[in-house]
Amino acid sequence: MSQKEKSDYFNIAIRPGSTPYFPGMLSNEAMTSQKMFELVGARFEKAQIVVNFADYSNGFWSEADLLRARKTLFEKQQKHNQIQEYTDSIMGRYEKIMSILENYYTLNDSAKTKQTTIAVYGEICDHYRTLCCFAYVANILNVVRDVRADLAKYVTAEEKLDEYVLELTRNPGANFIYDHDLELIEILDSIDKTTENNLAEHSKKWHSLFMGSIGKTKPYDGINKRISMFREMTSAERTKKKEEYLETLNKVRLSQDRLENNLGLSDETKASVSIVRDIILLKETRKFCMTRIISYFDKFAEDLGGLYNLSASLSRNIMPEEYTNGYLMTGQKITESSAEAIVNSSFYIFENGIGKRYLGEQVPQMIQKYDITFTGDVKVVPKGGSQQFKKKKTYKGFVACLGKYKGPVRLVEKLDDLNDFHEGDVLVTSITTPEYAVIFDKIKAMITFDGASLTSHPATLAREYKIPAILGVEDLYSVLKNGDIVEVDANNNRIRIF
Amino acid sequence: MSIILNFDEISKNDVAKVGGKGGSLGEMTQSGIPVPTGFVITTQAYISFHESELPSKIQKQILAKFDSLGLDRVAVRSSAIAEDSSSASWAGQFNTVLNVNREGLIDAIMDCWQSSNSETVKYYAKRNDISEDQLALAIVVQKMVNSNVSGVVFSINPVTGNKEEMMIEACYGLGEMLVQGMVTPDNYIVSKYDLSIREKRISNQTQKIINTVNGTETISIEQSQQSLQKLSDEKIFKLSKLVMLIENYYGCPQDIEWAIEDDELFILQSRPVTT
Repeated sequence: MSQKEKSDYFNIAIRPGSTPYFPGMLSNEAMTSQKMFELVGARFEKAQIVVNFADYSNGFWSEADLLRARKTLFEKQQKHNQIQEYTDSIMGRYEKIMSILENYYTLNDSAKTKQTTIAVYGEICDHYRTLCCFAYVANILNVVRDVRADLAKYVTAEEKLDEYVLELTRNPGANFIYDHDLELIEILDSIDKTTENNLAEHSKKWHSLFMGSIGKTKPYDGINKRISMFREMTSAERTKKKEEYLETLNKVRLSQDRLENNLGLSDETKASVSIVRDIILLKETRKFCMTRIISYFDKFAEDLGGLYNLSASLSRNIMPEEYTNGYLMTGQKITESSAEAIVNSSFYIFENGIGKRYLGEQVPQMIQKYDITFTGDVKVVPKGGSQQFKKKKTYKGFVACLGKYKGPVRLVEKLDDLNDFHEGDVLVTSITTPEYAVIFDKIKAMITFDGASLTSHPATLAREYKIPAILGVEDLYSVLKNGDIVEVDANNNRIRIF
Repeated sequence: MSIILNFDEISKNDVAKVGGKGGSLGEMTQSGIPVPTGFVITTQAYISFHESELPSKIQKQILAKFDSLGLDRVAVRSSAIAEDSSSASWAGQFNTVLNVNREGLIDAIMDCWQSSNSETVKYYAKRNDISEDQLALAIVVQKMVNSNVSGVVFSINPVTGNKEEMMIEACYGLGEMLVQGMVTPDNYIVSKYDLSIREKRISNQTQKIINTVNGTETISIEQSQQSLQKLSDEKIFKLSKLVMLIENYYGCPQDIEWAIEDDELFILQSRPVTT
C-alpha cells in the first residue's frame, strides 16, 4: 500500500470508555472517527473534539484493498479465498469462545476460583478482539457499485439492470443466519427430546439470549415471535422448515447460475459477483457471532463482576490485565466507584488490531500522534483544514440522519425528475413522498426544504437507508443546479457548495 | 373463522391475521392504554376478496360492526404483516383514509387494499427480501380523533441514537402533516430518567389539517396562536409517562403516534423503532 493510500484509511478507531462490550472493540460499526471523537469529547466536557477524518478502517483489510483486487481473475480468486478464510476464522473464534464458556460452566463451584474466572475472561477477550477486527469492510456499497458497472456491459435493457444486480448479489444464507432460526430450531428440538421440563436447567446448557424468551422471564421482541411460531410446530414440522431453508438456498443458487449463464457473464464478472455474496455472508456471520457471544457472555459477566462487587456491565469494561493485577491503570484498587470513574474518563484505541485503554489526559497525545491539531481549547480540526472553507456560504436546517457526503446535486422538482436520479447523487427537493422509494437505494445525501419533522416518514426512511439528511433548509432550487458539487455534513448541520 | 375482530379480542399471536398495527392496537387496548376504539378486518378478507368484489354479506357485517361502535367518523388504516418486521419500517407505503363516514367505509377499505399493489410497495418488498404473501393487508377501522394537537414520539432520540431520552414532536390539528414531513413541528427532548424536559424547540405553524364533513381540509391558523408552544409542559409529562409504559410493555424503543381531542390524550399507534 502506498503512503498516500495509507493516509486515506487510518488504521485506528477510538471509542469512549463505557460500552456494553469488552475492552478494545467498537460499539458500533457505523460509527465514524468523527463521531467517536465527539463522544470522547462529550465525555470530558472541556474538550469538544471535532475531527474531519477522511475515513477509517479498523481491520486488516478495507474497501480500497478490495477494489484493488478486482483487476484479474487470479486476484479475485485470491480475494475470494481470503474472505472464506476470514469467515471460517470468525466461526472458529466464536466456537472457541463458546467452548471456553461451556467448559467454565461444567466446573465445580470449588474449581471456579478467582484466578480461573479471570483467566477465562482474558482468554475470551483475546479471541473476541481478534474476531472483532476481522471484516471491517469499510463500505460494501462501493463494491456493489463496481459490480453494477461491470454488469451494465451485459445488459441491453437498462431498466432490468438493478433487478439483475439485486438478484445476483443476494445471499439468503446470510439472512437465515441472522434470523437465528436454525439454532432456535435446534434448541427447541433439544428441549422436546428431554423429559426435563425445568427451563432453568436448559438455560445452563444454552445460556443464550433465547432462553429468557423461551422461559418468558425477559421479553425479547422479534425473537419472541419466531419462538412462538416454532413452538407451535411439531418437531417434524421444524425439520421440514429447516429443509425448506436449505432448499431455498439451493434454489436461489440455481436461479443465480441460470441468470449468470443467460447473461453470458465472463468468469471474471462471475467472480466479482460471488465476492459480493461472500462479503455479505462474512459480515452477517460476524454480526451473528458478536451478538451471540455478547448474549452468552452476560451470564459470565455477573460472575466476573461478583469478584469485585461490580455490576455486569461495569465488569466487562475492566481490562483482563487489570483484573490480574487487582489494580486499575490509574493505580487504584478495583472497587465500584474507582471502576466507574475510569470507565467514565478513559477511552479505548484500537490500533493495528490491539485494543488499549488510554486515560483522558492522553487525548492530546493521541491527537498529536494522528496528525490532528488543536485550535483553541474546544475544537480540533485536521491540519490545514480550518482555512479552506471560510469564504463559502453555508446552509443549515434540521438534521434527521447523521453522516457526511460530498457529491453532485440532483434537483427533483417534479416526480418525472426521479428518472434522472443517478447512484451517488445528492437529492435536493422540497419534500419526499412515498414515490421516492424507488430512488432511496441510490441517494447518498438528502436536502429538503418543506418542513423539518424528525419523526416523519421521510426522516425515518433517511435513517433506515443511512442517508445523511438535513431537512427544512431554505429553498435552494434557485441557488443550485444539477451537477453542482455540495457537501452535506449532517454531523455538523452544514451544507457547503463547491 | 371471523373476519372481523374487536381490538379487545386481539392477542399477541394474531399478527398474521391483523397485521403489525392491528396487533399492537389490540395489545395496547388490553393493557389499558387509551387507544381510540375500533375493530380490525383480518387478512383473511384481503386474501379472499381483494381481487374481486366484496360480497354484500361481508359488506353488511362490516357496516353492522361500524354501527355498533356508535361513531360518525372513523379512520381506516392499512395494517400489513410485513410491517411488523423490525428491519423495515414501511414508512408511509400503505394507504390511510381519514375521517370516513358510513357511506365511504367500503370504498376506503378497497382503497387501502389497493395500496399493496403499487409499484413502490413491490420494489420495497423486493429490496427487503419480503415475499408477496407477506403483503396481505388487514384493515384497522378506528374512531376518528378530532385532534386539537397531535404528533409523534420516538422513545429514543432517533437522530443521535441516545436511548436515555425520547423525542416528542407536536403540531396543531391532525398529525398527517407531521407524519408526511410537510410541517416543522415543535420538538421536545425529554429525559427518560426523570421525565424532565431537556430541550424545547418551538416552531411557527401557519396551517393545519382538520376534519370536515367531506373528509379533511387544510386551513390557516390564527396569527396569535402560530408561534405558541403546541403541547403544555403538563401534557408533555403526561404523554412521557404513557410512553414509558408502552416502551416497558414492548421491551424495545417505540415509534408512537398520539393525539389530543378536547384535553383527552389518545395513543393512535405504536411500533418498534426500525433505525
